[in-house]
Amino acid sequence: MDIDGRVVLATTPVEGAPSQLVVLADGRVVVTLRDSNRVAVLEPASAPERKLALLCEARTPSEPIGLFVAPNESTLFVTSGWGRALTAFASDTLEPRYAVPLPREPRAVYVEPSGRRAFVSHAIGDEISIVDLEDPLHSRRSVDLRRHNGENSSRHTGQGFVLTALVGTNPEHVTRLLAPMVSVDQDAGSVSTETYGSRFLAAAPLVAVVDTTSEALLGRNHFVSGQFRETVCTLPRAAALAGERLLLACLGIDAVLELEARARDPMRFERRRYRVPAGPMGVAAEPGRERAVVWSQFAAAVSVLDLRESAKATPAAEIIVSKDLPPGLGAVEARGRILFHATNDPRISGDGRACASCHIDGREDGITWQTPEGRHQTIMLAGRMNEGAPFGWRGETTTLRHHVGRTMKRLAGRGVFGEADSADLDALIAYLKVMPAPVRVEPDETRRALVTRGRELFADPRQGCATCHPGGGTDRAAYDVARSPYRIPFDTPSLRFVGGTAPYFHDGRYATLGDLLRGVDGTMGHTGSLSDEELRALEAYLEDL
Amino acid sequence: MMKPSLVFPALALAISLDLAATSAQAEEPYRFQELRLAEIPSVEAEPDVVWKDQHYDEKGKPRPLPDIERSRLAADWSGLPRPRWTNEKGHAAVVRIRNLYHPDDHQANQWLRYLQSDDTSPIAMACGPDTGEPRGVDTYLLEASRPEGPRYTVLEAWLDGRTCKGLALRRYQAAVKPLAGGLAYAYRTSCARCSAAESATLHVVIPSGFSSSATGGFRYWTYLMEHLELPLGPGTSGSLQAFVEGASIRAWNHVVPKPLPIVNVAELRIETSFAVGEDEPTIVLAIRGLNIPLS
Repeated sequence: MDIDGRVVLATTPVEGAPSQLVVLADGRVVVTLRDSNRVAVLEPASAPERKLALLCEARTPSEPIGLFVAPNESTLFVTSGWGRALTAFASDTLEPRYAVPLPREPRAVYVEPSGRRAFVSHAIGDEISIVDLEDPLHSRRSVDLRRHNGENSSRHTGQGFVLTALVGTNPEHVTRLLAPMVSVDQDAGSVSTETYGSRFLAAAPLVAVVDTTSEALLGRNHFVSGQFRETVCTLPRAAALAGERLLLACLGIDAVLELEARARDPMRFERRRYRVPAGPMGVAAEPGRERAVVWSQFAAAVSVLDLRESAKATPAAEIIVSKDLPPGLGAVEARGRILFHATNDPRISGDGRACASCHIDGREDGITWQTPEGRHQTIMLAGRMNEGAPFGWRGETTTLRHHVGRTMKRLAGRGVFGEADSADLDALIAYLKVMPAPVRVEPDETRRALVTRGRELFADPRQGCATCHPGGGTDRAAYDVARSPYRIPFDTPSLRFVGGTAPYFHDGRYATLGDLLRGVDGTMGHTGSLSDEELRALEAYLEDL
Repeated sequence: MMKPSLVFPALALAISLDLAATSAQAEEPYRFQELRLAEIPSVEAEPDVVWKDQHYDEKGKPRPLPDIERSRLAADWSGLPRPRWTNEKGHAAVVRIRNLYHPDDHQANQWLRYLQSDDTSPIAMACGPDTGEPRGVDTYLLEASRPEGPRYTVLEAWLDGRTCKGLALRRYQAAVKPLAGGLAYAYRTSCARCSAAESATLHVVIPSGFSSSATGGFRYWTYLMEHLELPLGPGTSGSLQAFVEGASIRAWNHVVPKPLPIVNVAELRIETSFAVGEDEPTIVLAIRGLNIPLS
């Protein structure tokens, strides 16, 4: 795009859904392709009106998202969300150098100027990973984000899609990382016996400030609760620093917040906000100019923000990049995508939460929520919505329309039962059925053999797994698997994508699949007689479902 | 350990009642004052007095003053606060009598709001034969209009109520820097005997806000003014936010050299943060609702 001329100069098709991109000093463009598990390097043509040319590409662990180029541009770092890894590539050849396993759902990556450490945010899980890049084993430490909330708090911190570094007087020495996130209270439901949503702020946004020297949060006991306000940013998706201002792009409210980056919690020190087209998911500040550029995914538009103090808080320019809908989305599904990410819609919840607040990227948040029926964890939606009724942990609803409406009511939303809302409910459900599921990488020979063995064990009547989970799916029946005194039957959930949805069981009592397989012997199949090797095979099969 | 801020619930309540700021004010952008650490005067101060440990016996009974201290003046009270808003020279003054059996808590502050509710009301302390046990008394004096430059005096004493004489436990005097056009006065203390995190503190004296909070807590809160603290040690961060009404500014104008405009609500924010790898703490100050020059 020619930002000054406000025109699209050229469009380069790529083999997958682009997630993040970086422009190298020589003009090459690196892009992660989320649904094709690849990272690609594109070369600019001689004239800006011509398409970029594919220079090289490389395979990555499942779902490449975050991208960072080491300060000397010798190494590219890629996070893989579903593949739970940080992979380093040579930036000139894309030759893989090493991969570091990470906890669930890594998103953004930042490598400090010295190249010694990489910091990785996570969409769920109360932590920021720190990978020691000088250590031959690339050991991992973490910053515990629970400190924001006090040690005994029922709050969890997630939605970590972004990391930015605040550069002080010495640009070689980054002392603070800013991590926009959201703190949620898993016990929010306890304030009401009827709902697990309320007017109290179950989801409170914050910017975690990480002291990179001590590898701890700068300060503690941040005040994260408060009452719901319609303007809070509960779906932060992109950020950039413009001097001492943090520009934060927020889904749901479709705004870019200009925050005071030097504040204790910049989220609580808003200087200004810009309204931008729907779905802001990228923001870049232009060095040396009081200007920023914002990418709005849902509107397929680019906005130019004037950052001068005297400027208005409306974009100086808006450029529609494409009027075509993305592949796989019709107009109805596209409307559903906006609704899925809509915060502050009183039909959906009473405290401003969006569907995407708990179903992050259409998945789940790893949190076991307090509900009127006891502790239940969020269920993954993406890739599972076509398996049919019943719905809910108790199998309490028989249609998706009913279940979605019921969930909204339980979140203290008004619901979507009126005729006027019918089209929106249809759109939301249409999107639920097509929302992108993780795309797994092909396993190697060793892994394939292990999965095959696991499949045999799964199907073996002696284990009995396939009795209720035929083919890894569901028999649509309910069983008293918890063996509680109240004999409560729980709906058999589908096991699709179960490998990436820890913790396990309706109440999240098992941290890993291995714990689950060892813990449910006799109540959910029979795994007690399996050897460790067989359990590992069974686990591998489940991870592959 | 940071002192808890007892005014925090007041802030939460104010927010929940939408009292924190009018919507028009919320839309007004902040104005920032650049603050350099070196511009804020610093003074070496002893750690806070640990009243219970040092001046009470194992049964929780106040220790009597030694005879030699009993006859000694804790301070030259003539230049120090009297039971008025202001001393005889018109400077802002606070006398805080600590609760006899709970000397570490701040309950007395709440009462001071009423005891010092106007310029002539008496403070509930008198020395005499029936006043009983020794007790802690703190005095604070802000001399904002002092010709030689603004100054702040802190004296914490262990006082014999019978004789009004006793022992000065902690005292210091610091030059103070007017901030936000005189809406606040600030100084720093450093403490060599404290932990790294508590080795430095930013002290801010402001007119009493109808809602205020500071992560370092507050030292007192009277009808006229309040003294809030923010950590400045490495690895810490702090946040101060205060909403000051016109009535408080009107009272404040009695003790500052240059009157501030009377507005509906003025908001003051100060943020401190000091990452371990940084050379010095960052201090950010912003106001809105009060249109005055910030320098």
